[in-house]
Amino acid sequence: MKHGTKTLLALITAALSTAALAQPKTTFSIANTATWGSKNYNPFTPAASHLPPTLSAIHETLFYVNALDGKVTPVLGTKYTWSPDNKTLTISTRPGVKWSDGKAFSANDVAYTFNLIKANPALDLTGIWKNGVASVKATNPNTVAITFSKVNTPLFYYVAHLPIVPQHVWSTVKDPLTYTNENPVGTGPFVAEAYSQQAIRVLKNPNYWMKGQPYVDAVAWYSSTGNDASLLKMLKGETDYGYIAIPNPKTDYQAKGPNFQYWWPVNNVNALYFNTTKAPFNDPAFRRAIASAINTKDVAQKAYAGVVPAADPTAIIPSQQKAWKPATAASLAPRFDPAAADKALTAAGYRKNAQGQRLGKDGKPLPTLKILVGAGWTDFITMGQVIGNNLKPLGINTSIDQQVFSSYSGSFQTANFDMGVSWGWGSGPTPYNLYYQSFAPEFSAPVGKTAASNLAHYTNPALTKAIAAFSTTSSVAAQKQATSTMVTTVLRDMPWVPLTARVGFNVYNTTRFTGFPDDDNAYNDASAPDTVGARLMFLNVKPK
Amino acid sequence: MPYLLRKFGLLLFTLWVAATLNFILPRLVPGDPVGAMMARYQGQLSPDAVEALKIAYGLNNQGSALQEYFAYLGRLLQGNFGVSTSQFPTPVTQIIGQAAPWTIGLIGITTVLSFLIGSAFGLYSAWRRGGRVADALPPLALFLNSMPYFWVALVLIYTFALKRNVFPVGGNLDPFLEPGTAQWWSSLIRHAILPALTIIITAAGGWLITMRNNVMGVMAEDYLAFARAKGLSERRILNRYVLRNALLPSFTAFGMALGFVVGGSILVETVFSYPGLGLYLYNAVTALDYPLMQAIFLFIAIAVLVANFLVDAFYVVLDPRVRDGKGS
Repeated sequence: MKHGTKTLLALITAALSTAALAQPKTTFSIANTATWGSKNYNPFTPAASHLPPTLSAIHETLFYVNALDGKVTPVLGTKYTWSPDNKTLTISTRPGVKWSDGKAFSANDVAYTFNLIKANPALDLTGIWKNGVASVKATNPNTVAITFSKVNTPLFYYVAHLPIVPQHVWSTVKDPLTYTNENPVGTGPFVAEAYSQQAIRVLKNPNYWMKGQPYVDAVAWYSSTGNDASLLKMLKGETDYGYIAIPNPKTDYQAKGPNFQYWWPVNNVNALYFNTTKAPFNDPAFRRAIASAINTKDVAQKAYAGVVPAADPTAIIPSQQKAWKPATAASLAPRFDPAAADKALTAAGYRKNAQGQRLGKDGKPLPTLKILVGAGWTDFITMGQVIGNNLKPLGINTSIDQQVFSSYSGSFQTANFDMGVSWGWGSGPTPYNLYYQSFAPEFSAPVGKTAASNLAHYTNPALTKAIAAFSTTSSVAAQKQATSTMVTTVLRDMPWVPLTARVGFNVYNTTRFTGFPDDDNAYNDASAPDTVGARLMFLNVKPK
Repeated sequence: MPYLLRKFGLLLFTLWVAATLNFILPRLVPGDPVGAMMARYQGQLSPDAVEALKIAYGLNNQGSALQEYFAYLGRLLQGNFGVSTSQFPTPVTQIIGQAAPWTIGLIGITTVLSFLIGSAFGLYSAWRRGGRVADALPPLALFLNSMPYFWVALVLIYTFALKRNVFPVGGNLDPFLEPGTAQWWSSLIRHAILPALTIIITAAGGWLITMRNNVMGVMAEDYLAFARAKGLSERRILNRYVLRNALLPSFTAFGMALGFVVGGSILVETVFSYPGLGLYLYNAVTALDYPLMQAIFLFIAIAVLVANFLVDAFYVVLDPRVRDGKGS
């Protein structure tokens, strides 16, 4: 009997200690601003379809390229070199790395992953195989050679960020497109643990290749339905981090105490896009005149209460200006000058009639021009109102056209708008990504068809040539030359007016953890917690 | 029987109309799902994803709209609703299976509860007409019934979730709980109370007014005077004659309300971020997720039509006039 009690006690102790083990000691908690779908850790499905930890905690990439300044952080790749003709990219892979199931990682896994998305074009979300890659081979267990049929050096950004999956697991998968990878095997600092509609948790990978890191035992994401609900979690101190766009982080968050902090680095722009497929916006002279009538400083001040600055007229973000902004840009950029705008319009053939209305080239008064914004997006609506007030003295009437999200984006993409406020539909480690995705002819489309990202539906042969020139060299000097042409061409033609900066939305609480990225230590680009860059934050945050 | 057969034929025809509208309506929204996805990523997604996504979603070669329509009808008949594009690659049926219990549980139970509570108070208010409480009920009911739904929800959230931490702000469960345990159940109930209260507060008033009017109508009937003259007890009159007759019209409306359980939940579920069909429908519409949208719309249509048909069928039992084919 006594023996029996002892066994029972031992059993209970064992059960209790396993239960205690199951609760991680330090959990880094994230307020997720959205809900998520079903259990899916397939890294090749679009970001909204797979769970937040997929790219940021479980699967790793070859490198991390910081979109703010282009700095490259080695991950599974340790070093990369371009051949002299830029047609071969040789990548050394990290030795001694193990998959979370204990098997060794090698260059073969990298080659396998690239060829997997070649065999399944639906998985190739960044167009790696469509944009010049011809073959990917492991030349030895620690080296991968990527050959290109056409030179495309900026593609490195996407090559670097392709999530690498284990060959020994994925080679048995029948349909990788619909595979939900419920027990993911990765090389990342964390392994999947709990999943529900309310929260997701990943635990520290004890065999992670970086010794001593991560410092936290677990990362947990808590779902909510929007910014307000997430902010509430942050204000209550329930979570340590959130990627939350709030109207004024200074008063709404930072003012609550010294541990309530935010880091909102500029990573993109908001711009006024002109529909260059229709009059009067098809006339560069008209667009330039409008541009010089808009007071972008006032737009930024009114829309973001001084938290977000006005955009640079070239749309190049501050962290890239030193390296990439051409010296000639300043003289070409439109200056806010209503009187000059008025004269320029008249000179271009748009006269004013006796009632002060601006006339089109056909002599009839211009119709009321609509400014397309998202329904209820107060920042964009404010921008539209300031622009409307700026254009009124020129005799141009405007109205704000609010559309729900899907028709907002659809109207832009099918060229069914006059002018509209949207963000830069492209971003990356150099201004190339923004200019390429915003103005390349292949991302435009005829009116009525969906353009991928060229919202202004604007092309210019000189610009197209410069884009090609940039992508076919690995010489920074030549790329600077090409950037200069892109920037000056766009400044002359003004298919858009960059209005305000656009920022990342890191909101965090230093009560429990330190080591968050900020201006002094910008080791990532304020990456959202489901993206490649967030992994660096999870590796660097330290319990106090 | 021909009555029921006729009703059933009508049900099938209406279903076909619903399925067809269901095909047309989502396509009238400007934009396409891939475009919406590009926009959602705000410049983070390479435009080359467009090609990849089109292949993934089966949007690359669909043929003409007519071919698409017949393919859609064919799949419907097989019960194949396709794969959600916003939660790719989850089959739509799986999402509905996951969400439906929450909606049916929350909205279904509260609809029944508000019907019972409202009708009981309505009966009381009519039966005890002249009493202070009984006469105060109808204006109160009208007031509650006309309050905007989301406003009540916001007031409740503000008072009980933000000011005092009595109930959670939203959601359906606390994280990391083992399903079926006592903790899990208490968490489930704690999360359901505010949304349930919102529905009951706003819906019960309507039932109260309907029931009160019905009872007043019945009370004016000659057969009640006769029953009283005969010396039947008040209790017997109330149960056998008043309640049964007064419930009949309310019952039709109740059947309809049950049918709308699925569709009527969008506002509650969005405000309380309760992961039911309404929230998924809202998300599907904003993400232009046609397959999910269509499946949920169809689900709503079927629920309403079937509820209607059942009420019609039940009427045969309840009301002899219908059975004999004299009523219409």
